[in-house]
Amino acid sequence: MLKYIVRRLLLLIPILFGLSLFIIVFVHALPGDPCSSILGEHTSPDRLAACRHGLGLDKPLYQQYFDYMNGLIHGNFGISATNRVSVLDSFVARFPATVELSLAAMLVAIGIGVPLGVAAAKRQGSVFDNFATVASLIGISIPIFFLGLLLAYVFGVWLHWLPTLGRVNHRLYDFTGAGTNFLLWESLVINRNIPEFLDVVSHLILPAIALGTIPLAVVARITRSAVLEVLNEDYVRTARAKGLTNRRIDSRHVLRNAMLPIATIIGLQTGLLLGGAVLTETIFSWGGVGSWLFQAAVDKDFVVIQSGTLILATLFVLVNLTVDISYAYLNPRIRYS
Amino acid sequence: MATGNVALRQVLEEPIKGSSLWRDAGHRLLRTPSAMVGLFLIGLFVFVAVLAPIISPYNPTAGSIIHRFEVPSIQHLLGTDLQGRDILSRILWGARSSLWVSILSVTLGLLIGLFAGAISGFVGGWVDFWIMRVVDIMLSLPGLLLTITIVVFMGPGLNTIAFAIAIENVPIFARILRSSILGLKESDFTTAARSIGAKESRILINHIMPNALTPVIVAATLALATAIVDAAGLGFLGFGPQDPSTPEWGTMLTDTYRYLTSGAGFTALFPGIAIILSVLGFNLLGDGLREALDPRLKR
Amino acid sequence: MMTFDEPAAERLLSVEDLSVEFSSSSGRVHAVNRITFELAPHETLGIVGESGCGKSVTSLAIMGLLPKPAGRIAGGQVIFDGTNLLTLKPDEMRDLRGRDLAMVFQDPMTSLNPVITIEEQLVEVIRAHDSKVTKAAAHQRALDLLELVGIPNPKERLRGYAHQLSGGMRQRVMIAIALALNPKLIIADEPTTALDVTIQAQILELIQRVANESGAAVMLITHDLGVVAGMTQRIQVMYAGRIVETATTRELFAHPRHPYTVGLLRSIPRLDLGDDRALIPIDGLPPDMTRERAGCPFAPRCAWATERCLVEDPELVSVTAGQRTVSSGPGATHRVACWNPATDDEAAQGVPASGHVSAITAATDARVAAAAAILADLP
Repeated sequence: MLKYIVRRLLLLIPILFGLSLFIIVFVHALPGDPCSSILGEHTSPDRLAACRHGLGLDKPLYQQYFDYMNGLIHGNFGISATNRVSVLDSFVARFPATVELSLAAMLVAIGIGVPLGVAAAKRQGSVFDNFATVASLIGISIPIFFLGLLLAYVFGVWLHWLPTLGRVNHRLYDFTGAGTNFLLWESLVINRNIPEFLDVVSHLILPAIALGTIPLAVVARITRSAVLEVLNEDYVRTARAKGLTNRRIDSRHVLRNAMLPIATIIGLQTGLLLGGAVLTETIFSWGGVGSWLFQAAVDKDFVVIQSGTLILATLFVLVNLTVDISYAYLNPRIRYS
Repeated sequence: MATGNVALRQVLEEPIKGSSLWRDAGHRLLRTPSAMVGLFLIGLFVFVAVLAPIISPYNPTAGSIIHRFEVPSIQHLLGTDLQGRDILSRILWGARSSLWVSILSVTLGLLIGLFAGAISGFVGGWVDFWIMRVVDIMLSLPGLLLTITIVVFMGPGLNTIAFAIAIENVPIFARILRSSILGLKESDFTTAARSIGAKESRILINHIMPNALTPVIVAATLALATAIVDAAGLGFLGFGPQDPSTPEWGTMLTDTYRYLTSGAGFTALFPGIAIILSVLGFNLLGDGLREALDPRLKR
Repeated sequence: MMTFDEPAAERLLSVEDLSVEFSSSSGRVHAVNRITFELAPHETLGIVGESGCGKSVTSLAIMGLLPKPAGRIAGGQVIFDGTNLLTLKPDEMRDLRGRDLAMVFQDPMTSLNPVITIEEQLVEVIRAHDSKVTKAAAHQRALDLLELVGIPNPKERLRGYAHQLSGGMRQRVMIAIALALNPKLIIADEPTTALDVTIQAQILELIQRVANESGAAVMLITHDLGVVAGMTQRIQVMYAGRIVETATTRELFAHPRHPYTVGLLRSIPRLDLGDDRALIPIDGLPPDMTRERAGCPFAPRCAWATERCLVEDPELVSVTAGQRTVSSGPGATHRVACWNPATDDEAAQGVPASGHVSAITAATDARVAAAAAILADLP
């Protein structure tokens, strides 16, 4: 198993090289550059040239790629063209917000999606099953930003139940101490401040529901079909013939086997969420990676786009690797060597 | 030649396209109520988009500020927006934008994706290897950010949005076509066709392609749904058509977002319902097609 | 309602007038039609028939494992050890399964759970029916069971998974699971069909041995008369959801009466008879069970069929009129459901004695003649 992990990690290196080459060529193939957006449209050609020279954009592309890769190897992800802040620093500052949001969204998705899918499968063809099927199809069809708006309108503007902006009420609570930016962790474990923790949680609820709805619907659909398939398997009939209780049949025989496809889809969805909840973060003013990279795209900030995308793509590949490894534990028929 | 072989030859010579596979699928589709609801919603969507100039009660771009944020009434069935324009008319015209983007993006994505996938699947070897590596890379990139970047650099507008979404779809179509081709190349009926001496080109056109396209058709239907959502998302972020005379559902919702607290009531959420209904239509049909085209799923 | 002459106390299982229906898209399938049979304690009974004849459905109905909601018991009783299983509460029936009633399924490849260990699959059946058994005791019992069914390195195997075992070994594990709580009845549904021919005999021998040792009764379900020949005391032949013939194994092989049984016997190679008769397949297909029809269900395929066979359904009755009927055990009466049973000579030939014209052939001939007459009248 260890050997397999090491080999997969080594295989990551050429993938990352390919990825960086693809991204840099892709970004430079597009018309426009950061200087035009920094300096505005009405600027002199001289100032534009000076700006381009300052950012190294006047060099040939292969030279730029070489310089960039050279920096990467030394742990230098570059400096933002717009605010001159290290890309890595910005990423580290914002990533915790994205992690908390994504995990909360997946918690919503798995916590509701799996039981919903199982219940629908066990009552196949019933009113409940049809309702769940339609609901999950609507869940897949609803645009995330519309759902976000709806939630913000109903629970924020209309009912005043939950906050709709930011991660915490900064007028009441100020996180300066530990600086990990994992606010859930800091408020509960480091500060041990329950009202503060609850404030952070209340800010998390609406964005997590908005972001978690599509994965929820996907997980529910996959769970339903996986459970339906397993229910028809001979070994479930064997389990019944053994006189096991329904609870044991469901947990050890049905769900244990249905978990294989469910785990795959959960991993895939987590990877997708980490890849930037641009719309959710924008609606709820969530200072995460998604809104940061969105701003970088608007500013045509080459370095931030390149490095940010590269880091996210790497994370995506790593999440998939984790899924593959956990798959081996769930499925004894697969043994990686 | 023995009579059995004649029968086999007849079966194999007959193009699968004309055979009962597709007719059966059609019958199964017609018996799926959800797919029929989907077809109805799509029909409504296309109908509205095509006939918007005729059926919309008002000019979608004209309105007076005095009548802003009106609630639904006989005059304005869905109320008015912040500039006093009739929301119903704007939604009807907005369908044109969504239909255009979804069709253009999926067609473009299919053209490039199927070309790459077919080459990968049939040529194999190192060509296949490199195409698939590019596909892997593209699939690992965060999707919406990639789209946004393209739109930012190429300028906003419906055609740019369609192009960006098409790029996102290319690796998906390429991979689906390639894997179904690979599966079919080794399938029993291809071997059977080859064993009675059918020409490779004939096997390709009559046996492999029609079957390989089945999963692509399903994926394309679902991609139409995704395209509508993504286009609306980009419109919502402000990359929609910059010409205010082209209503677009996502852009309409941006106004809601800004004025939600200052007067714009629930009426501003109607474009969202239009998005959901049209997306739901394609998703329902896609689901129905998947089940109808896969004989193994027949219950 | 059929009555039998031996005391009810001598019966382990008695199935009375059992009917099972399935609802499907093409209509209601009458999978089992009012069958009645008995099983004595320690008896081994073979149930033989083509696929779709209702033999597996019968066993699933006894076990309470009919697929829901498609399958349902339309009538009758299943009395096991003095209790009617069909009126038991679900939890009481559950507790009976695995404890007194055990089952070995056809395909050992798919009947074991692929993702949990062999040990857990053995231990869970032991602990499901007695929560007081300690884990250590259950582990020891699992080890003993694997040894009993002849699995080498049982300690290692317990920790392993199904995919690490061959088909034969997996079926041994299935038998070990069935034996775990010393059941009174083991139902084996085509236990050797999915296995290599060389393994089949070993598995049959194993079932016979463990049944003898534990005193369990066995219902062996198979499509292959060859499988039951050396193994069961009594055989019941099923066709279209009915029992068409039943007798002790020796009697059935020596004096088959039902044309279908004759056909089955003629379609297996008989090395023991030392002759080189051609194998004769049974023509035609089993009937469409969605339709209720008059007459004997086998009549359309039967060379012995008479006019009566087409209109009147025969009952399962003793081959010798007036004899007292014993339903189970070594002295079971030979019974057949046929209006025109084969004689020993006909059975040996596989065809009716010359001079008999099948009603089917006659009917077809009449229709052809009528058609020819019509054609001849045409200008």
